[in-house]
Parts: sequence; C-alpha cells; structure tokens
Amino acid sequence: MPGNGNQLSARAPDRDTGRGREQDPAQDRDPSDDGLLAVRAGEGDEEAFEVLVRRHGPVMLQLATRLLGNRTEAEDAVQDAFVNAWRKLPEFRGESAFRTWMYRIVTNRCLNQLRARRPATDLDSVPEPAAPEYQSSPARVAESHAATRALAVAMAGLSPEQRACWVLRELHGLSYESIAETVGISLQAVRGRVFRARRYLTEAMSAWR
Amino acid sequence: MALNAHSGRPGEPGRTPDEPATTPDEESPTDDNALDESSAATERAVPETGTRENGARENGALDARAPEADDEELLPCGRELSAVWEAWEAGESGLDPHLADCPHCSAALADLAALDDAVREARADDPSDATGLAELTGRVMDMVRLELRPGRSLPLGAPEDDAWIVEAAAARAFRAAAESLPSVRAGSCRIAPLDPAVARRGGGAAGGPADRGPVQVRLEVVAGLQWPLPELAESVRARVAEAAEDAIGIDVARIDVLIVDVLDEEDPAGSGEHQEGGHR
Repeated sequence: MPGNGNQLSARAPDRDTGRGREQDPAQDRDPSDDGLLAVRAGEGDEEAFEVLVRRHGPVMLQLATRLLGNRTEAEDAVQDAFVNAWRKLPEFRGESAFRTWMYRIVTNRCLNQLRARRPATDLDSVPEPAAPEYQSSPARVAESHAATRALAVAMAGLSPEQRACWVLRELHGLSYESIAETVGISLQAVRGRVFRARRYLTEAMSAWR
Repeated sequence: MALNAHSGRPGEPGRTPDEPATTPDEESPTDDNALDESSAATERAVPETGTRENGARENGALDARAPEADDEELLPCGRELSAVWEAWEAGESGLDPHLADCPHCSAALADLAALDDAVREARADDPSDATGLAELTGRVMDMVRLELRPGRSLPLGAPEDDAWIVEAAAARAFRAAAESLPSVRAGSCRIAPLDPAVARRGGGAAGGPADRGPVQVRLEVVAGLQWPLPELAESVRARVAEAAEDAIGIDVARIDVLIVDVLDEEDPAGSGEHQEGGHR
C-alpha cells in the first residue's frame, strides 16, 4: 500500500551539511531536542510536553521563586505558565528556543503578579518583606548566609521591572540581548534597569555591612 | 550612601535627594524615557522638590518610567558610575589605571564586588529544591489532559468498518516507528485524508462512510550524519508503513519524509535525556 509517496524533501543540511547551521546563528538552536519536542507538543503530543515540563520545570521554578520571593506563589506561577504554554504551543514557531520562550512566559506571569501586589503597599514605608520561604529554614539563618539574606531583603526594594532584569542577568546569566527579548523591552532599557538595580542593591548592601 | 536616603521610593531606588538631575540627552532614547520626557523635564526644572516621586506615583508604573537621566551619576572624579561598572562587567576594569588609583572609582568597584559576592552565593543557593517538582509536573499534566488536542479522526480498518483513530494517537505510533531506527528523531507528524474534499470536511469527530478512505502522512525527522539521506528516507517510510499496516491498521497511501536536520553527533543531542521520558 504505501511507499508511493516519492518525495524526499530535505532542507539545507543535505546539500551542504553543517553550513546551514553556521549561516543562521540567529536561530538560537537548542543544544537539546527541545525544538522537536515543542513541535510535537504543539501537535497534541502531551508526552513530549511532559518531557519539556520535567526538563525546564526546575529552572522555571527557580526563576519564579527568585522573582516572587515565595515558593508557594512561585509554584502556582510556574504551573500557570506551563498550562499557558501548552495552549500557545500550536502557534509556537520556534523562532526562539523553547527555554527562552518559557523564560518569557514565566517572567511575564511573575511581573503581573508583582505589579498587582504594589498598590497594597504603602510607598512611604519600605515594606518589611517576608523573608522568602527558602530563606527561613534553619540553615539559612546561619551567619554564613547573612549576606544572601540581606540581599534577599534588599531585592524586595526593587521595582518589579528592575527585579526581573536583574535576576535574569545576575542569577540566571542571561545576556542583555536575551533579557530584552524575554521582557520585551529595548536593550538600552535593560541596561538601565540592571544598572539601577545594582546601584540600589550596592547601597542597600553597604548599609548592611 | 545610605539606604534610608531613598527609602520608601522603590520606584527609583538609588537616587539620593541631593543628587543633581542630569539631562537624558546623551542616552539614546528608549521606550522608557520616551514615555517620560514630561517627567524628566519637570525634574530638570525643579530637581529637589520631590516632583519626581509624585510623578512616579501618578503614572503608577514606577521604575520603568523613571527617566534614564537617573542612570547618569557622576562620581566626584568626573567618571560615570555606569561606565565604571560596565568596565568591571566587561572584565576591563584592570585596563584603566585611573580606576585603581581613584578613591571614588575603587570604592564604587568595591561596592559592586561586595554585591557580587552575595550574588554568587545566591546563585549557588538553589531556592527550588526538587521537593514538589514531581507534584508540580503532575498538576500541570492533569490540567493539560483536560485540554488535549487529539486532532482529526481518521478511519481505521476496512472500508465497511466504523472504527476511527485520532490523529495524535496515530502520529505517536508513527513517530515511535521512525525512532526505532538508530539516531533518528521524529518531530512534526501530520496525517490527513488523501482526498482533499474529505480533508476539507474533516472536523474533530468521526465522520460517516463518505469520510473513509486512505490517508497521507507527512513526517519530519532529524538524523545522525551516518545516514545516506535517500536510504534514511526509505527506511523511515518502511517503518511507518509497517506500523500503519501491522500496529494500527490504517490505510496509508502516501508517506512524505522530510529530513529537517542532520546532526553531526554520533548520537543526536538529547536522546539520552529523551529516553527517560519514555519516547524511545
């Protein structure tokens, strides 16, 4: 029965192997097979999606915890972000890597939550931030972590936008370009926010020292 | 510089009240300061009256709207703080002797280095330990299974039967068949009725006898370099045909194989990780 489909369509790599990839560095190719799995998930393969959730869940939870300062809220945010990703995957064209795409969804979700929090805060008093839960375990209270703790407290004084840019840059090691793409602002705006966050944090930390 | 100098103004951390306002003109315009020309202008006119905070509160967006002028803080030696820190970030602070000689610059660098120490600790301190991750994945997948996208229904078995299979299930079987070949990974797999009229009618639900007929498969694969491409396409096609006939019982009239990438690696990246997901 089958076999009469006599089409062999191969894109660039079959004619000049390897060059295809070098020619297109903007493709932001995943080192892993995320791209394949994302396509499959977009076509309704929930098992492929589960592999992606397992693979990227830890980093996304890390990011959300750092942005929100609260593990429970972070878990909710990451859950929402992945469900949202499942819904949007049929339109995912793979212009960026799946991880970059997830960074964007999680960051936006957390930014919305942080912004929604702000009106409740009296701007004339520095909110006493609940020390993030992960900071509260006995080990974290130890003296050797005092600097980390002071940093976590200081981070609460950053605006949501500064916090997002700074966390992506300093704690997740993203390039300024990736952050601009993730947050959806200009490169210059990212640099400005990271600078202002650093200036605020150095001052806060020097007060602590 | 003390923390309390700007407490209560999270929208513009770091700015001390006695800081002279500078013009934003040297910065290239950004979406941020473009939105804020007005408040920057106000600030230039009355730099120390707190107009700025009011402005920030009014437009509610806080920092994002803080004028970029805020980024230009001159150290007493005339260097810009941002430039000094940028040199440090680029690993070039050693190239400029002034930075080490100048007390203001070296103090600024020491501040940043102290922050960096805390940052490095925070980076190593993974706030998301593995506890709860499995539960999180479980909750996500429970939600996903409420919103499955099974695709169209395709006819199974003989023409007189009334058996159907959803596209997603058939695609899963075909991908697995292709991946039974060494170093082959399958991506997109679309299956549609061969007859364009039927294909156009095709909705989600199982159709009537008129909707039955052979289907066509379009499968994208990635494979290791060791495969001669024509042989690869032929082998994939054979595996898919075999699965269609023996495993599923679906009448496949045409199989298009698209080789979308060739991997240099002996073993395509990620395949090891992939196995744990149970796809092989």
